[in-house]
Amino acid sequence: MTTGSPLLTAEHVTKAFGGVMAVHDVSLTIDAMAIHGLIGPNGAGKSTLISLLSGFARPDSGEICFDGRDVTQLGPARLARLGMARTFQAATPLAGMTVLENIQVALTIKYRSGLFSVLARTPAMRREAKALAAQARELLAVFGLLADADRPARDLPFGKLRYLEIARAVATEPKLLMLDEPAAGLNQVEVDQLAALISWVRADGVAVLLVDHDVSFLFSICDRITVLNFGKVVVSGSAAEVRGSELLREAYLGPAIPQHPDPPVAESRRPESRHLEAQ
Amino acid sequence: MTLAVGIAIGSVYALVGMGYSLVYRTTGVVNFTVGSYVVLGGLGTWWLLDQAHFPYGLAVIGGIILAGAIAGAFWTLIVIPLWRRRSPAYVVLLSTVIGGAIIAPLTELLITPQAEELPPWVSGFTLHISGSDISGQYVFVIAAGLAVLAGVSLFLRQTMLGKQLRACGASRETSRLLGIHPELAGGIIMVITGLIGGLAGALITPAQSSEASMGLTFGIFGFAAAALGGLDSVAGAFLGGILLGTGQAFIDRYYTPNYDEVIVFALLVAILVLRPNGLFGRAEHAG
Amino acid sequence: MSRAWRARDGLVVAAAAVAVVMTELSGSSYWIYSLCLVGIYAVVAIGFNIALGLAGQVSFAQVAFMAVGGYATALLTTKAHADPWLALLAGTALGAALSFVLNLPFLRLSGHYLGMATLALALGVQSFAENASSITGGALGVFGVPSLTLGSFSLAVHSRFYVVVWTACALCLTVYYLTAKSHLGRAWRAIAARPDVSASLGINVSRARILALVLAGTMAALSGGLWALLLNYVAPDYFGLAMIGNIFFMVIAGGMGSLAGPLVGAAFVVLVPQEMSSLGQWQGVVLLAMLLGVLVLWPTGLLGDPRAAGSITALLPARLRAMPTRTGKAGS
Repeated sequence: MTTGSPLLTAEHVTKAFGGVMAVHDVSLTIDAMAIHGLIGPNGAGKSTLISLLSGFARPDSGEICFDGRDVTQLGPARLARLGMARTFQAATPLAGMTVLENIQVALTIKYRSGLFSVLARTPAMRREAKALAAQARELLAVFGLLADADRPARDLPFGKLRYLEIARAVATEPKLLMLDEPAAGLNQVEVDQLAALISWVRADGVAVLLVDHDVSFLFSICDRITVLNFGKVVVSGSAAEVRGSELLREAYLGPAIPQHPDPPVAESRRPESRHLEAQ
Repeated sequence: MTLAVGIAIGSVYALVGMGYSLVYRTTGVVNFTVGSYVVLGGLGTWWLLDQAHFPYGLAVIGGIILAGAIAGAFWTLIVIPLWRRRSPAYVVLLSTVIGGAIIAPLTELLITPQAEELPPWVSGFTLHISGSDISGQYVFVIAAGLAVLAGVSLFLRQTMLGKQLRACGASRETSRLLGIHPELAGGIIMVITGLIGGLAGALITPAQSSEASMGLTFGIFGFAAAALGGLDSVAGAFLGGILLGTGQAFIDRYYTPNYDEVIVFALLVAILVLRPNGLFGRAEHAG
Repeated sequence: MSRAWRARDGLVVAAAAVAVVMTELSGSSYWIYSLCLVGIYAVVAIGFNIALGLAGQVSFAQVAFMAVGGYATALLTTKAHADPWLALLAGTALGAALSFVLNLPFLRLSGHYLGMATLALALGVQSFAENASSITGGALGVFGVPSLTLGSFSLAVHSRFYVVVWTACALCLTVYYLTAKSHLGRAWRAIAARPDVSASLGINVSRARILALVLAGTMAALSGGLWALLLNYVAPDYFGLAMIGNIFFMVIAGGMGSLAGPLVGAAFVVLVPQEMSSLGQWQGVVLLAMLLGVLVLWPTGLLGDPRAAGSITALLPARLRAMPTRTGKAGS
């Protein structure tokens, strides 16, 4: 997969829920090994779009192509096996399972053994189980979770739960990783670590779609950004293009008003502010 | 005549079905004990009349209250503790199945193991339909069914409390925010359902005898009625009950009485698989 | 599941194995017969432990497949004069096939709706058995089911049939153990916890569910066949609500998803009523009441992990609870 070639394209995707247009004529392209940001105020349609892209909902119209094939009607399991992984907004540790088991579940698709191999305990099955268990541990080590391997996943502290969520998605060896608000509730140090982690994931050959509210975080690592508002694409382009765009400011703060030379409202428009309030 | 009997029996199923629907809409619980209250009402009335020598009117009231009380007791002693333990929904469902199963032998032991009949409410009231006589009692059952339907629908749609209870059924947390105590609300609904069931029992027992083991049959048929109409639709449950009753009456008369249960079960499975929202329910995902 | 719990499970299984062997050696016909029943109940419970305990599938239909296995074995031996071993195998295979076919349409259901549809299926099968007198002998059932033989060596004697029963049980327990600790078991537990997250990780949720349900149905059918061979008789009475309650009880009270749970549950369900036979008519009521009691007091089962349930003080009304629990909510 060469950097820069389109990996995921959504074209004119529309989804309405009972008369409310959640997503309207949205088109978006994510390139291989790119980090693509998706921002917009609450209710802009980001969650719906993620659901559509990850197969949890079907668009009313439009097309979604992944890795050269039409995946519009496919469900999440198929998409995962084609190389699309996602995390969920609230961390979703699997109840009743340990941290290690959570990762191992993500590796299920790598197992070739079926029921009979399991019951017969064939050498192939045992080799496979050992290798994949080791792979799971390696991944835990990378994410700093190895010490917690045998703890119930539910007992992890908040920040580690986030890492587990991402580690689990990464375990499926995806081509595209969709992160749904990974930075929510993290302090600045943790956000910086998250940014480093995402860069590492990308360096490993994975494209990342990043949905978040933390604008400065997004601008610090994304190559391209798409801004949504009221279910439509407001502006989409490289991070630099979007950063300077009037349309972005309008989406968050409303249309520009005639101002005095030193307007108090300029304070909140500084790029280093961490959060923009939704209008 | 078959039609009339069918509608009458169907009204009993309808009353039970409405009970299921009512409980489900307000608490999210599918309660399998609902059918047993019919038997409790009928046999309770019989016991008060026959064994305790109450006047008939009082015995009927007593039987109805008994059903309501048992319903409330079951809710308080079983469902509320399970809710507090955050038990999964299927454990609650299982407990209601067992509850329904336990009421039958209990009734047999404490009240009577035999089938019993009650005197008609209005003696000598019979109808002549297409050359045969049927007990006028059936008219009362049908009337009661309609009255309950009207009453419950009005209550749920028009009164403030009714609307709040409907919101309750969606989520226990939401109902707390609305200031409703879901446990208490559920208890009240259960008692009302028990009273309705008891009334149905007191009404139908003069027309045909009641026996302890019929409670589970009513429970299943009532559930089928509710599922047919869509679990969250009280009116649907009523219609479902009538349909079921008439269907059963016709199958019994013209086909065979033996397989009527099997046919009902098969129908129920088909409904649940193909149209889980029933014939009249709103579109929601199946579970 | 932590190591400590699993170790304890292993100990219970070992203890059970010792008890089983010692009973056989003791020659006590009362205990041998009782443990034959325990073994047969354990087989269906182990299967259901896969479906419910691991995969979280609330299916009330196990008893229907028990009936299939039992009646198939009974009818094949009495009407078709088949060899009892073949009949047992055929009954089990039929149960497997039917549980596949009948559970497929149920895959689109879950939660309440699955429970209700499978309950209707189970009661429908029982009603059919009661009414289709020409095929199933109606309410009277099928008499004269022959016992197993090993060549000329009759296994009619309970102490010999005992070995067959407990071999079957050990086999099922091994299947359970091997699948539970494999990736299949983890997939089941994942779909029990969060089917949506499992799907997002690539797991074919439908396939995992049907596998669990078919394994459960197969073991149920095996159990039914063994039952027919032990009693030399089947009747619809056995496959009704009481058995449904028993099956759930064994898995829930024994401890969902635990290895030894079904054994403990089966022992309870068989042995406790026998001790209570003095209660006569009250037996049924007391048993069901105990079942309800266990559900309320020990929702994770006698061997389960108590941390998974709310604490027992949660049973008290809000006013009496001293302070909020650790989870922060002052109540359920």
